[in-house]
Amino acid sequence: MNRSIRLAALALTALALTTACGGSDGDKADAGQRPAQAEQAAAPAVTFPAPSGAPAPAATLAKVPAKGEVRLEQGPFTDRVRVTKLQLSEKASGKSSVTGHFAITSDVSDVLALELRAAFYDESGHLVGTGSFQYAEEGEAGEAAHGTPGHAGPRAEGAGIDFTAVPKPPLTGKAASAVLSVPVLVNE
Amino acid sequence: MERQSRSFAVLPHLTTRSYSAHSFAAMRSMGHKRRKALTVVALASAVAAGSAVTANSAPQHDARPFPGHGQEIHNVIYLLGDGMGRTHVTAGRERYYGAQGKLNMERLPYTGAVATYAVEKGTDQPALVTDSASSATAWSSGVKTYNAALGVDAYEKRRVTLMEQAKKAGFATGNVSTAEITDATPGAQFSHVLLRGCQGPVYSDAACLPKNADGSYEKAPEDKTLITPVAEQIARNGTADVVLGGGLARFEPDDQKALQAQGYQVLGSFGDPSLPAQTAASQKVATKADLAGVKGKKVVGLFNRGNLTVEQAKAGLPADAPQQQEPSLSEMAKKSIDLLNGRSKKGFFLQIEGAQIDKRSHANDAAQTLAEVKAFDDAVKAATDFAKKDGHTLVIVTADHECAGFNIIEKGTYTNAEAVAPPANTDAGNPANNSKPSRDKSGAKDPVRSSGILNGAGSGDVKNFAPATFRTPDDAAGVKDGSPEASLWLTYLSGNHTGADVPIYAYGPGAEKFAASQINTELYGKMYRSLFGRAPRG
Repeated sequence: MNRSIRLAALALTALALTTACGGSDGDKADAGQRPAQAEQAAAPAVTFPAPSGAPAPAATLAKVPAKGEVRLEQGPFTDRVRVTKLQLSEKASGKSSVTGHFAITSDVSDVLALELRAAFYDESGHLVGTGSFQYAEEGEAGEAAHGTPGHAGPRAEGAGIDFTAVPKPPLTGKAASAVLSVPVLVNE
Repeated sequence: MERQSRSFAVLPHLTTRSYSAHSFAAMRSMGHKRRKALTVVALASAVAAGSAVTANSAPQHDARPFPGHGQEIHNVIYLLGDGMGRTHVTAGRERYYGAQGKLNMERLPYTGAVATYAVEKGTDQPALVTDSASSATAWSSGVKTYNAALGVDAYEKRRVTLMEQAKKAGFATGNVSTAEITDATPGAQFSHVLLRGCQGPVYSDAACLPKNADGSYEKAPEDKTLITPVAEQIARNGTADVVLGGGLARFEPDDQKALQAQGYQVLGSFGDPSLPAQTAASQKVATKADLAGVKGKKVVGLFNRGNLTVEQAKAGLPADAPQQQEPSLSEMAKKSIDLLNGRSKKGFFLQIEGAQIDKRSHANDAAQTLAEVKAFDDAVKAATDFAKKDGHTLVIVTADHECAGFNIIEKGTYTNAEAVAPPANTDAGNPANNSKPSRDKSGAKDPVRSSGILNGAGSGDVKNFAPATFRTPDDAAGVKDGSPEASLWLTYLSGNHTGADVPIYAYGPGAEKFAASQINTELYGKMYRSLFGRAPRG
């Protein structure tokens, strides 16, 4: 779905622009140079489209992939990554997942945000559910994942990382193929 | 005002020395008495600088006139080398101009230092090592904030930026970077997001919403701007008239439409509106030929889908490689100045970032780091050349933080990272000086950790911590980079930012205000005064 179709102007934005200007101040040392509320209110009142996520996966695939195939969908960041060992796995419990190896080829600094999305399809090419894999090496998400400010272990830059995208909620049918996309990728 | 004039008039020669480009090195070699005298002078100058609340129409005085001194300030050009610490400057100087040479930035008449710390989220507790987002918010909005925050304070409140204020007041504005233009440093002047990762093209909770202590996402803010991808904000808020950099992949065709509706000339193509998502095949990056042909006053040029290509890599590519169509930072600086100059009677405010100094320092690639320092310094020259002719332009050159603990070690020595243990820590002559842990001998160089000069004999070993070496103009003819004979030995402490202060240089009317030891939030107030002739109210 194109973003222009999804535009829904936010009436709250203008109000928020006004109300969000007071705020507490985290700056003791430069107290004499704080921008005043009057100055803050000078921020331009611009209305943006409602924040929208990645385009929804196709409900039906025009070309049905071979059984077990995982296809990488071209998108905004596929030219700066290398995705290998893609596999549609099924555990004994019957739960499907997409696994693979992901490496960033264009940047070496820490990953701030990475999201991989797997769309699962049945034998006739109908969407039966989606799953995602989220990853970060720096910032709050990175710290939460690793328990410390620093990142330990394999990195997405260079050698790369293994990933597993598990459906959530459970699939509505048996997965026969999948399409993987990279809607979010930000390096420090 | 009178007090300030007197301070500079009484102590002109000492003030000059206090803030000479080599002041840090010089002070190390001075006796204690001399240092003390200089400290007093430095403090006097800092006080004077801090009290310099001057109007555009009130020329400032010091003992060293230079072209533009005492003139009204019409334009402010703020250049920063991302991740450029004091040693980056020194190493760049030695590499390209020799030990007695100077980079262009070092030729500016005023020098100071900037403390860069951030704060913990929701508090005013210092976090001593900043990221680019927090630091850029400090000088853009005058507030300390948490790492990852852009254009919001530590409490997630939106704060107006200097570029927004300049635009609203009628100045022409520009934002130039070798990074994705949605990256933290340029982003802080013309966007507001809770997390810097919220760059686009799409929203996602993981990229745009901070997490609570229990790992759940915070509730979306009332002000939805704060979770609107930076690319969408840039394309719609009209804050910068001239936008040059990388990051085309962050934008979509509806962004191009929004820009064109505001009168921007958009170089290249943001893609095919009929596609659900854009790809390298559907978008067309701008080229330096496109840029050269720009006549309009408002322009957006994105020359790479990601960050621009590092200069050293570009130099090694064939002439017909697509990367050769990317302009250098210096070329973007010149063009942006051309486009902004004279656009408004008020003047202009332009930010220019050399982003790859940081990115190549993260990678511990000294050769590319040095080349990016040089490329940034060339942009400084473009700005100061203009300022010298114009006479009404303040040029400020600084950094957001140091990156990677860049260091110059003595030829033939080694670092702790290369050794089996740290240096000896005993004082046989006076055992009272001994402390813990006590080490009776220094650790030898470990051949496993140090397998040869990194850009020479040891270049094939990915676990090698040895220094990289570079020839300088002072070296004998025939001395090669990567050889033990090269005189410039460079090492990195880590792949991350450090909390070291960064240098600042300034030229033009009002430049003396920056000759101080200052906190990065103070830069906002000083630039505000330069543009508006008064202090920010509050």
